[in-house]
Amino acid sequence: MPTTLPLIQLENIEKVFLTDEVETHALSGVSLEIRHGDYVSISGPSGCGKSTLLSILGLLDSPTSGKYELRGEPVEHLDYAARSRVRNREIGFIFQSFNLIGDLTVWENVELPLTYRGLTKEERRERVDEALAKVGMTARAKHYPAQLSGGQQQRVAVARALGGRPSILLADEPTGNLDSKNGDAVMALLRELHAEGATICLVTHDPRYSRDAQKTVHLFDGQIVDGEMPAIT
Amino acid sequence: MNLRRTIRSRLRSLAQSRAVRREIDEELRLHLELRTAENLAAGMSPEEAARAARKRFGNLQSVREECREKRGANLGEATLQDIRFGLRMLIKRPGFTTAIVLTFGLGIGLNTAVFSAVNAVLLQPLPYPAPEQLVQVLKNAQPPWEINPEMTAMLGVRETLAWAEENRVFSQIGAYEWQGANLTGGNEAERVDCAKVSSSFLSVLGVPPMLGRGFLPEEDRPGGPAVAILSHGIWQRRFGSDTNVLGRTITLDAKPYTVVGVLAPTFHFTAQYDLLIPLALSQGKFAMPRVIGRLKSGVSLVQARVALDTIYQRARDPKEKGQVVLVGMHEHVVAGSRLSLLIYLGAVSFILLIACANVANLLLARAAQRRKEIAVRLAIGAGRLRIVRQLVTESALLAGLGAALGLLLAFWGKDLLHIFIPDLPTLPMDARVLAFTLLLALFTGLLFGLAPAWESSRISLNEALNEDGRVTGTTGRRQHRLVRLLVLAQVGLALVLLVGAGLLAQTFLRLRGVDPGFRPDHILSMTIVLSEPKYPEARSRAAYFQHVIERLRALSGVAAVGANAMLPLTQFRMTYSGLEIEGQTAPAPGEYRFLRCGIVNGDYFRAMGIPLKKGRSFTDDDQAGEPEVALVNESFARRYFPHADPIGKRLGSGKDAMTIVGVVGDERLAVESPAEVQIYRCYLQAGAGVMSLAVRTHGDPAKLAGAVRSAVLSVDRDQPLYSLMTLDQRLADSLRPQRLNMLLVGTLGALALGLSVVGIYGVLSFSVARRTHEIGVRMALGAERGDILRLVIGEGLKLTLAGVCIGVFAALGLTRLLASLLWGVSAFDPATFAGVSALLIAVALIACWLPACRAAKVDPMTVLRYE
Repeated sequence: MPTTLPLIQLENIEKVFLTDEVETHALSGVSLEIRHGDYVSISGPSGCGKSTLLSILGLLDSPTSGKYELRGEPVEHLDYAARSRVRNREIGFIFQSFNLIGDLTVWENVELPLTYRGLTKEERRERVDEALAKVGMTARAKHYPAQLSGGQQQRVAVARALGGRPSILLADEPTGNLDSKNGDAVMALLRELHAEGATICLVTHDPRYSRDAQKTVHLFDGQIVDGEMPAIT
Repeated sequence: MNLRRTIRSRLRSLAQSRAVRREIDEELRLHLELRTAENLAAGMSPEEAARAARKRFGNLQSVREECREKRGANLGEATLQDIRFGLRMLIKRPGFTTAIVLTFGLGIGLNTAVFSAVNAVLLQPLPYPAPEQLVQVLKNAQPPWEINPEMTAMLGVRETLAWAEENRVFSQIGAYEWQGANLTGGNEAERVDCAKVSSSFLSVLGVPPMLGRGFLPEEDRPGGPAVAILSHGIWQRRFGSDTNVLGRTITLDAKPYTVVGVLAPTFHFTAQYDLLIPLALSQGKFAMPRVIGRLKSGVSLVQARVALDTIYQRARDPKEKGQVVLVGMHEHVVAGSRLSLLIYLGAVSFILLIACANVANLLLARAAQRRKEIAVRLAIGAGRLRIVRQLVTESALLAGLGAALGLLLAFWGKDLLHIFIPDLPTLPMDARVLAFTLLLALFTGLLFGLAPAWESSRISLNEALNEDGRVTGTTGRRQHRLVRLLVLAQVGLALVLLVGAGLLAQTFLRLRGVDPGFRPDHILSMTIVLSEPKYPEARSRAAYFQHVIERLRALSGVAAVGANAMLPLTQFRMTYSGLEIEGQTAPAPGEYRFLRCGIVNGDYFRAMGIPLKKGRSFTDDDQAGEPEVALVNESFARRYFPHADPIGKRLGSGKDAMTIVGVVGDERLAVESPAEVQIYRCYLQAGAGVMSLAVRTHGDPAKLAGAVRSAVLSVDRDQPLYSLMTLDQRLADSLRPQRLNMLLVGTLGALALGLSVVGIYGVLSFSVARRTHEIGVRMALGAERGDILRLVIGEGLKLTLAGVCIGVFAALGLTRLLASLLWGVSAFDPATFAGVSALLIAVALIACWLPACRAAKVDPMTVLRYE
C-alpha cells in the first residue's frame, strides 16, 4: 500500500574503495527513490556498480557519503548491530548463488532469519510453512539444498527472503546461475509476488527481465545515466 | 538496566521463556487498553478508539519482537538451537571433531591428573579438626644447626619445657621426636620408626586413638610407665588386627612397653610412624624435640611468634642464637613437595596451551571453510554476537567432550602419575578436581573458541557472499596472521618445556656420571642399629659387629666385608665439630671446624673399592685399649697438610688423641655433594652402635640377600638388619627425584614438540591451500619446484625461528624457577638452549616438507583454469 513517504530514498550516494594508494569510485552521486509496491530494476554493464548499489541498499555495505533513508529514518550511520536488525526485519535477500546453508534443511534455511528475532516457535512455524507454500516447496521441506535443483534452491532462497515479511526484496542476478527455464520460473514468481504487493529491487543485465520492472535504473561507471518507467505488460 | 539486573533477567528468560513471553503480551495488551480508554474518554467511538490506539502504537508484532529480544525471551530456545546445530556439525565432520576432542582431552586430562595430585598434596586440609589452627614451631637456626636444614625443626629441651609452662597463645602445645627402635618378640625382630610424643600430642592434633587411650601426663615423665600406642599399619601387620592387643607387652630396644592404644587408619602425621611412645622430657636430658601447637582462637601467627620468641630468648641455652619461626602445619607438611608439583602443573598447563593453540588453528581453518555460511547468516540479520555465540557454543561442546575424555584419561593416568611420583598419596577425583576440569573446559572452550569466532564474525560480507569458496582478501590474511601468531606461541611454549627437560636431563646425566669415589657394583648393603640396653658399651658393640663380619666373610661368594657407621648413600652422618688437629690453630670462639667421621673396619676400603693412598689401613691389632689410630681422606690431607705428610700427625688431645696412620681416596657421601673433609676411626676402638655393612660379592649381590640376613640374625636374632639392598640400587634411588623430573618433564617436552610440529604442519597446509592460486601463477611464470619448496619451507622456517626466539626469551625468564632442581648445569646453559633450539628447528623442517611438496606439485594449468 503506497504511503506518502518513500520506502527508500538515496541522495547523492558516493562509494569509494581504497586499495593501497588507489581510489576507486564505485558509485558517484547516485540518487534513487523506491516506494512501497515498486518493482525497480538496476541494470548496466559489468563493473558499473550494480552490486555495490544493491549492497548499500541492503545495508551490507555503507556509503562513503550521501544520505540513505529507510522509511524516512537515516540508516547510513547505524552501527553494526542496528544494521543487522534492520536487514533482518526490513530486507529480504535473493542472491545469484542462492547462498543456502548446506548443513540445514530447506525448512531450517527458511526458518533461519526468523530465529534471529523474537518470534516464538509457533510463529516461526506458521511463517515458514506459509513461505514454502508460496514458492511451492512444501513437499521438499525436509530435504537438504544439495538434494535440490538450482531452480528449486532459488525458490527456497525466495521463501527465505519472504519468511521475514520484509519491506523490500533485493534480488542480485537471481537467474544468473539458472538455465532459462528455471530462470523464467523464478522471475514469474517475483512477478507474482509484486502483483501481491511486494516491493522488489532487482539487479540484472538481462533486458527481458528488466522489462518486468516498473522502473529501470541504468548505471554506467557508478552513475545513473537513465531512468525509465516502462509500461507493465 | 544495570548489569546485575540484566543478567538476572536473562537467566530468568533462559529458564522461563514462556512466562516471560506471556508477561510481554500482557504488558502490550494493557498499553493498548490504556490508550483505547484515553481515546474513549476523548470522545471517540469504541472502534475508532481501538484503531487510533493501534495506529499510535505502531506495528504491534514488531514491538512484541523487539520486547522479546530486549528481554532475551528466546534465549533458552536459541541456545538449544545452537547446541543442536553445533552437535549436528560435529557429527557431520567426525575427523575434525575427533582431532579436536583428542587434543582437548589430552590437554585437559594431563592437567586434571596433575591437579588431582596438587589437590591431594597441597590443597587438601590436614585430617585433623580445625587444621588451620595447627602450627609448627621452628627455629631460625644459627650454626651448628645449619649443617642440616631439617634441624631447623629441632628445638632444645629448655625452650620446649618453657613454652609448655608459660605460653598463652596456644590452647594446647605438644612435642615429638623421631626415634628408631628394634621391635622384638613374636616372629622376627624388626626395625621400627617411633615417635616419642608428649601426652598432649594427640589432643593437640584432635585425633583420639581408635582403640584404647592416649598417654596420661604421668606416663610422660622420666621414669614413668613404659607404654606404647600402635599405628594402624603395625597393628594389622604384626598383631593381626587383634582387638585384645590393649594391655599386651611389646619389646622395644630390649625394654618392655604396654600397649595402651591403636591409632585410626586415617591418622597421618609428617612421616609414617609405626609406634608412639612417651617423650618424657626433663631439664638436663638431651633431646631434640619438635614442637606443635594449636592456636587459641583470635591469636594470629605473628602474635604467637612474638610471644614464643620472648619466652625462647629468656629460656634458651646462652650459647645458642636464633629466633622462633612459626609456620602453619599444612605449610610445613607440604613445603617439600610444593615446588615440584607446581613445576609439573606449569608444564602441563603449557601442554594445554599448546594443544589449545592447535585447536584454535583447526577452528580457524574450519571457520575459513564456513565463511560463506557465516556471511549468509550475517546478511540475513544475525548480529555479530549471535554468530560468536553460535561458534563459541560449538567450541564449548568440543571442550565439554574433551573434558569428558580428559576426565577418563586423568582417571587412568593418575596411576601412571604414581610411577613418576611414587610418594603421592591416593588421588581422589573429588568435587574440587571435577570443578577444576569443568572450569578448564569452560576456560579453554571460551578462550580458544572466542578468537576464531570473533575473527569469523568480522568477515567482509560483500567479499564472502560473492566468493567461490576460496579464502581470499583481507579477512583471509587476518585469519592467517592469527594462525601464525598461535603457531609462534606454540613453538615458544614448546621450546620452554624442551629447555626445562634438557636441563633436567643434563642434571640427571651429570649426576649419573659422577665418580662417587667407590665402586658401587657387586655390593650388598644393610644397616644394623644395636639396642642400647643390650649393648651399652663400646666393647660389646664392637664384639657384636666383629662376629657379624666374620660370619659374613665366611659365606661363599663374598669377596670382602666392609662396615661403616656412615656408609655413603645412607641417612647416617657423624660429625666432629671441635677436634684439634696437630699443627693447626683452633677455630676462633663461635666458629666451628666440621669434620665428617666414619667408623669403619679395615676391610671397608677394599670392599668399597676406595684406594689406600698412603700408610696403612686398620688391622685387628687396632683394638680398644691400644693407641687410638685414624685414617684421613685426600681432601683432609690437602686442606690441613698441603705441604706435609699427615701420617703420624695427631688428632684430638689427651688420652683420646688419635694418630693418623694412613690416607685414603675421597668418597662422596651423597652423589650430588662433593667429597667432604673426612676422618675414619677404627670400629674396634670407637664401638659404634649403628653400622652399615657393605658386602662385596663375586656374583650378583642380590642373590646373597637371604644368606646374609640369616648370617646376621644368627649372631643375635633380636638385632634386625634393615634397608638390605645393593649399593647400585641405593645409588639409583638417590638419583630417583632427578630421574623422575627428567622423565616427566621430558615426556611433556616431547609431547609439546609433537603438538607444535602438528601446529606448524597445519599452518603451512592452510597457507598452501590459501596460496594455491598464487603458487599456480608463480609456476606459470617460470618458478621451478625448488623455488616453490624454498618458498614454503622458508615460510615455515621463519615462523619457527621467530617462535624459537620468543621461546628462548621466555625460557631465560622461567628456567630460573628450576634452579633448585638442577645440578652441575646452569639454568641458562647455552649448550642446552642451542641444542634444543636446533632440535626444534630440525623437527619443524620435517613438518614443513610435506606441505612444501604438496605446493610444488600444484599444476598451474588446473589452477588457472579454475580461475
